[in-house]
Amino acid sequence: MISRSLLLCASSIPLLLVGCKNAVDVRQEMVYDVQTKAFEQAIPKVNGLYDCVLKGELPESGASKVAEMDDISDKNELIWQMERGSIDSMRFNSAGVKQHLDRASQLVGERRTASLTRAIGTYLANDTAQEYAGNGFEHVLVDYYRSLAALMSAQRLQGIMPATGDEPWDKDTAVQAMNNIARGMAIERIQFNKDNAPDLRYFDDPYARFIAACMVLATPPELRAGDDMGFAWTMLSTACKSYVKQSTVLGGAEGMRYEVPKIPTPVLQLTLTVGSMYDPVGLNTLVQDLGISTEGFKSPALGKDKGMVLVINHTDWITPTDRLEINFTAGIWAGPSVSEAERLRGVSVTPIYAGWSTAWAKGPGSTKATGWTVALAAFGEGARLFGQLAPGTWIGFEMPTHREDVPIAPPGMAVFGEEEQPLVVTSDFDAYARATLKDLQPGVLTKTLARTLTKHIAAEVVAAGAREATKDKGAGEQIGGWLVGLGAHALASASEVADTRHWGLLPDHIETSLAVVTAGKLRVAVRQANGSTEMGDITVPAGRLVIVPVRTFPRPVACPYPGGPPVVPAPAAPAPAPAPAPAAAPAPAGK
Amino acid sequence: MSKLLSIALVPAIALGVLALPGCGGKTVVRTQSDAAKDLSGRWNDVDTKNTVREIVDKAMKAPWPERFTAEHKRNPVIAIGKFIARAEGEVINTSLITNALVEEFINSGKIDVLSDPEETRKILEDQAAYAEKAKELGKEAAADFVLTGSIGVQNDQEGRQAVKFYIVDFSMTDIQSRKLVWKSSCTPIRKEVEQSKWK
Repeated sequence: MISRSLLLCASSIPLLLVGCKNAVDVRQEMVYDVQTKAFEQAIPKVNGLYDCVLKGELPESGASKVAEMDDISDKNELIWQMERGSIDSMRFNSAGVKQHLDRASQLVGERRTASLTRAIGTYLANDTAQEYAGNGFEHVLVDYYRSLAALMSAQRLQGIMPATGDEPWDKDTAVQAMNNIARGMAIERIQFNKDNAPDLRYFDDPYARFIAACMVLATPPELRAGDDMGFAWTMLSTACKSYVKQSTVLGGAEGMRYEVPKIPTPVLQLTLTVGSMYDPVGLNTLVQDLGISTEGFKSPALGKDKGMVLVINHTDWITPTDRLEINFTAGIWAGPSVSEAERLRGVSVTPIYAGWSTAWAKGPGSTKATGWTVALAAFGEGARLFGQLAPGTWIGFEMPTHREDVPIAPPGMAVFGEEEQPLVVTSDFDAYARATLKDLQPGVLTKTLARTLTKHIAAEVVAAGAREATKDKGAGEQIGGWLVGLGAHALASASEVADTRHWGLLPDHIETSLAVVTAGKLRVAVRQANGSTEMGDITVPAGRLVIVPVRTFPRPVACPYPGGPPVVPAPAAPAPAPAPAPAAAPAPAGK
Repeated sequence: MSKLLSIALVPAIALGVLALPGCGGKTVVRTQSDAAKDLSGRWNDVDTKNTVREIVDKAMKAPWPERFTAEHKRNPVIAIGKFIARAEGEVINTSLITNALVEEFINSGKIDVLSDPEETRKILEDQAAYAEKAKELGKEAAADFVLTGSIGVQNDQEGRQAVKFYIVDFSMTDIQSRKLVWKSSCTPIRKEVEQSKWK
C-alpha cells in the first residue's frame, strides 16, 4: 500500500528531514495541550509551527535549548501572535493578551496591504510561502479578545472580580481600552470587511456589535463619554438587524450549520432594556421593522439595588482546516491507508482505478472529490498508454478543507447565585470559518491547478530531457534517466502543500446568558451535561453590567498522542484561571 | 540540459529580485522632540502637545481667572479632572495630557493646580459632596475649579481611505456653585489615511 506520506517521505529529502508529522497533527496536539491546561507544553509547539520564539522559550517541542533572543518570522507572525494571545486569554493573563494581540492588531492593518511579491510568489511557489494575513472574521476576533482582556483588567481593578496580580493598565486606561478597542472592532473592522471582501457571504458580526454595547454598560458612569449610551443603542439595534440578515445568509447553507437563533435572547433582552431607557420611540420602530414579538421579555429598569451579569461561555474548538489530497500514480495500483489519528479527524480515502493507474482523494469527506479523481485517473492512464507519462510518475496536489459539520452540543445553564438561566448560542465562529473557506475555495483551486500544471509541465520537460539523454546508453543510465523524471514529478507534487494555517485556538461558538441580579456578592457558574465550571464570587455594582467570560469543553478533542498524553512537570501559571469543565467523551470528527 | 537549467533559473532570479526590497538593515534618526511625524493617523505625541498648549492658551485668555483673582485676591486653584477619550480602536494615554496640563498651568504663574493626588481624587469622586463638606467645616475647598475634557473622533471610512477628525472639548466647573464657568474646544485635528492595496 502506498500512501502520499510514504511517497512524500520517500521522494523528498528535505521533507524527510522534518519527519512525517505534519502541521495538522502538531496543531491537534497544541489544541489538546491547551485544553488540558498544559500551556507550557503547548507554547513550544506554537513556536515550532510558526517559526517564532521569545527569549527564554523553547523554539519547538523537544528542543534542548531555550532561545537567547526573540526570533520572529515575518511570514507567520500574525498567526503566532493570535495563538499566543489565545493561550494568554485562557490563562486570564491580560498583560500577555495585550502584548500578543496588540501586535496582531497592528499586523492585521499592515497585512491588508497586499504585497506584490507575495501575490506573484504564490503563483510560483506554494500558498504556504506567503505571509499569513488572516480572514475577516479573525481580524474582528483579534479586537474582541483585546477588548475582553481590558475589560477583565478593569473589572479586577474595580474589585468586581478578585485581583490576580499586576495589570497592564490603570483603571481609567483599562476602561478606555475596553471601550475604544470594541468600538474599533464594531465599526472599523466590520466596515473594512464589508468594503473589501465582496466575494464573502460573511459580511458582518452582530456579536461584535452586541459586545461593543456591553462594554459601555460595563463602564462606570463617571468614565462614560457623552455619546456612549447613544453608541450602545446604535450597536444593539444594528446587531438585531444583522442577526436577522445573517440567519438568512448563513442559515441552511450547504456543507455547514449556522446555529445562532434569529435574535439570541440575551441580545434582545439588552436591546429592550437600553432601548426603553434611551430611545423608546426608536425601540418601537425597531421591533416593528424586525417583526418580532417582545412578549415574555423583561426589560427591567436597573434600580439602585440591581445590576446585570452577562456570562459569555466560549465553547469547544473551531474546526481545524485539514488537507484534501488528490493524487495520481501512473502504472501503479496504489491504495493509501488511514492512520488512527487520521480516522479520528474524519479522514477517508476514495480511490479510482483506471487500467494500471490509480487516482485517489484522501482527506475529510474525500468522496466530494470523486469527480476530480475520475478525471485525473482517465487522463493520466491515457497519457501513460500513449507514452507521455513514465510508469511510477506521481502527480498530486492538496487543497484546504473542513471536516464534516456536526450539531453543537445542547447549551447548558448559567448559574447566578440561587438562580439558573439557559445559555443561548450567540455567535458561531465555526460557521464563519466554514463559510469563509468555502467562499475562497474557487480562487485557491484555480491558483493551485495553474501552479500544479506549470510545475508538472516543467517536470516533464526535465523527464523527457533525461530520457532523451540516456536513450542510447546502457540499462543503468536509462534507469537513472527514468529516476530523474520520477524525481522531478515527485518534487513538484510534494511541494504542493495545502495552506491549512488558521487560528486554531478559537472556540467553536459563543453561548451567553444575561440576568438581572441584586447588587452585591454573587456566585457565578456554568452547568453543562459533563459538569460545572465555577467562576467564583463576583461583586455586582448597582446599575451596571458585569461580564464574566468562561471557557468550557462539553465536547473536548480526543487525545492525539498514541501512547496517552506525555507527562511534563506542572509549570507555575502566571494567573489563576477558572477550571474548565472536566473532559467527557471525545469530540466527533466534525468539531 | 543547460537550456533546461536556464529555464529553471528564470523564476529563481525573478523571485530573488522581488525579494530584494525586503532586505536591509535598521536605521535610527534622532529628531527634535517637537518634530511632527504621522505614521498611522492615530493620536500621537504632537497632538497631545498641541492640545495642551491650546487649552492653556485659551484658559489664560478666558475671563474667569482674572475675575476670580480680582474677587479673591489670589490665583484660582484648579483640580485636573478626567479626560475621557473615545476613539475607535485607539487607546490614548490621557495621563500624558493631564500631566502636561499641570506643568503648563503651574508655569503660567496665574493659575495654581492642586497637586495633592489624594485631595484631587476626593474632589473628582463626588464634587458636590466634597464642596458641601468643605462648607460645613467652614473652610475653603482645596480647589476652586475642576477641569474636565473629552476626546472624540469622527471616523469616515470608505474602503482603504479614512478621514479621522479628532475633537477635543474641555470645560471648567466651579466646585462650590457647580456652575460651568468656561467651556471651549480645541481646533479639530483632521487626518487623512489612505492604505494602498499593493506595496
